[in-house]
Amino acid sequence: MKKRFFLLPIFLLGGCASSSEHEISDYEVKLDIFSSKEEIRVIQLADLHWNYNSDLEEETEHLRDLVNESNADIAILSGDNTLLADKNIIDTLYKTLADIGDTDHPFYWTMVFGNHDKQGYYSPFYPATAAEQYSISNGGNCLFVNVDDYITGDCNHFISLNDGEKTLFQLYCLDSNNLHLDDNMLTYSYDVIHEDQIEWYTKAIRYSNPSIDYDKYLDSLDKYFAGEINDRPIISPIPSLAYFHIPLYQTAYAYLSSLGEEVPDNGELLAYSGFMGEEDYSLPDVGNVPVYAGYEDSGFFKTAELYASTKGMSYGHDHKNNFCSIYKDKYGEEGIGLFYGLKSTRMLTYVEGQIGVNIATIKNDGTFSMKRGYLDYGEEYYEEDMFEEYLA
Amino acid sequence: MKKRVWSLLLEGALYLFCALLILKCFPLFIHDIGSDDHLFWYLLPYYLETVLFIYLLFVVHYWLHPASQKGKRLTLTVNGIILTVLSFAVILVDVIHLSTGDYSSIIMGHPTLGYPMDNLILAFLLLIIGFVMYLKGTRFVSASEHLFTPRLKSTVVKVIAAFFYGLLVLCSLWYLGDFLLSFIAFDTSLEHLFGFICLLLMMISPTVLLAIKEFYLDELSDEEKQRKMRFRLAIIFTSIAVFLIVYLTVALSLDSDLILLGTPAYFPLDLMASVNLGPISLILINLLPPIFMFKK
Repeated sequence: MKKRFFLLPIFLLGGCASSSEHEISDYEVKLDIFSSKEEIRVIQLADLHWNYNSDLEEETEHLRDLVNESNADIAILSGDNTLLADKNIIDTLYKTLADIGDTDHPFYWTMVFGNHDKQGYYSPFYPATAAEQYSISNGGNCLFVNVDDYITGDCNHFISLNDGEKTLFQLYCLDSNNLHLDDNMLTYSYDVIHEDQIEWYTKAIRYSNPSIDYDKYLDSLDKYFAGEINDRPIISPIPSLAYFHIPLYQTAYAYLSSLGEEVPDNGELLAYSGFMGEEDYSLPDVGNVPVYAGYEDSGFFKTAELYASTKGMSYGHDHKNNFCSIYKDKYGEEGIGLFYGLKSTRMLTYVEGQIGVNIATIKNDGTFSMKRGYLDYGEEYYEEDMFEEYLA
Repeated sequence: MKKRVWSLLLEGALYLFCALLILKCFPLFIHDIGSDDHLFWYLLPYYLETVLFIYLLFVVHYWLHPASQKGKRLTLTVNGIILTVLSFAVILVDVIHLSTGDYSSIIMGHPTLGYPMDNLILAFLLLIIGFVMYLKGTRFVSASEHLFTPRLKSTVVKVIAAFFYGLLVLCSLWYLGDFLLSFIAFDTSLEHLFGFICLLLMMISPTVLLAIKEFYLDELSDEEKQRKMRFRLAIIFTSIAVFLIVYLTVALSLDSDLILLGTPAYFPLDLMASVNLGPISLILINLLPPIFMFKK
């Protein structure tokens, strides 16, 4: 989040104060959840789009049903949680999530922001600051961390799930931002995870895996890619999942692979399920695909492949897509899951019968499986496997 | 004279109210267009009522600035009927929605906190206003009062000017709403303050020009004095517009995130349709009206 400062003359000059460095640990929330459970369920609430025409009573009930029926331990709102909302709507959304769970069945939640969350009748900072009152440090169940920094985005943080002794799994939450003004100055494209955020992500992984000498490992990896050594160096960092809002280019590549088309960097589709229901979108350097990704491939997927921690990425944004895949290119060893979240509400656009949540069941051995949990308004809840095997 | 001051103040208050209505109604309408579940019928009373209040604003303007006594009578009669019929339609659709259960209760709480109760109350108010206007029109007695001779002579030019004037009023209403929104949606980080001040000035400037025209310039009965004052205002507001455009250009070059991060609530069309319309529309409505005022 952008640093706040209150010296009027500096603002009027458009100047900025020097960036204050934060420790990586400031972005971390530790959650001792595996000491009492062998496996947990993390659900993705995608594109809720609560707005001032929402029937809050109905939406609140639906949200509670989604969490309770899916038996979730943690819910991650993957952006566009609101659109055209006011403070009351934000407060109602947060309070609903804050009121779920009790001491016997604790429930936690956090969120990333999408391209619409700040577009409401409040200060652009309100969605982030309002969540603070429900944070763990304030005695609540919200895992959101609102660090006052200069890193792009408003919600970069990570959650370390531990068993009381060591971290067994991590959840990385990144802000994929909103829009990017095109060169023609007239139109916008969607934004991406910026370079400084990717750097932050690598720092967080290095911090979380102090026993791995990443400099040495990356050197060896360079040599491997240059053909100087035959065997790819292998490391085993703490496995993780990443959550953000706007899909990556690799989602488009995975989809094109499923159609049998050529994709860059020797891309390979290892598994897939679901469908693309969105209309085609002109993606720079790719062409017309039903994936509304950012204006460029900023390199987050490649970095995740190189750092070998993140095994799956969950996002939303494209309401009518639920295509999920396991995809790798020449930089990856075993493939990374790319998961479109099931649209969780009927707000704005959706596909009939495709309302619900994605569920990641994470075991204390670091493996996880993915399911889709379907729950349309007033209908019966049911689940289906996304892929047959446990990942990671 | 006193009655006229009160009438003009009433017009000002109505303008302010319309700005608040359009601020909430327009984004919802865009949202509705982009939705799979089109709620046009469901929200028809809400949309229609906003349109009727803006319509009433134009009627009040023409009532206060008659070109002839006959025109004033027609303004009251015809628009009185239209307003009565359409506000009755609002009430009727509200009642249908309530009786069919589309509206779960008399106070559902969305899209406004008191909806549809507040919608019904305002529709009744519009109905009464429309009916009173109609009665006044039918019982109209010509009186000697100042008439407002149109400055433009050609019919084609008059029609074009009326269209753009209407568009200017709608844009000015929207941006006045945005200006008022800044009281609750102010970016508390103050990081984008330099550009934000410019945007606020550009949002309020067209309303200031319209207010000066409505409450001062058009009230001048001496044509020569009015012509001179129009010329002065044209120079002043063109200069202000040029200054603000330069200011905005500098602000956007220093702070490219101004619109997207500093003021996302103010330009819903930009963010929903991914077009950079906000700054362009602000430039146009600040620059074109004073330039048009130079026309003799």
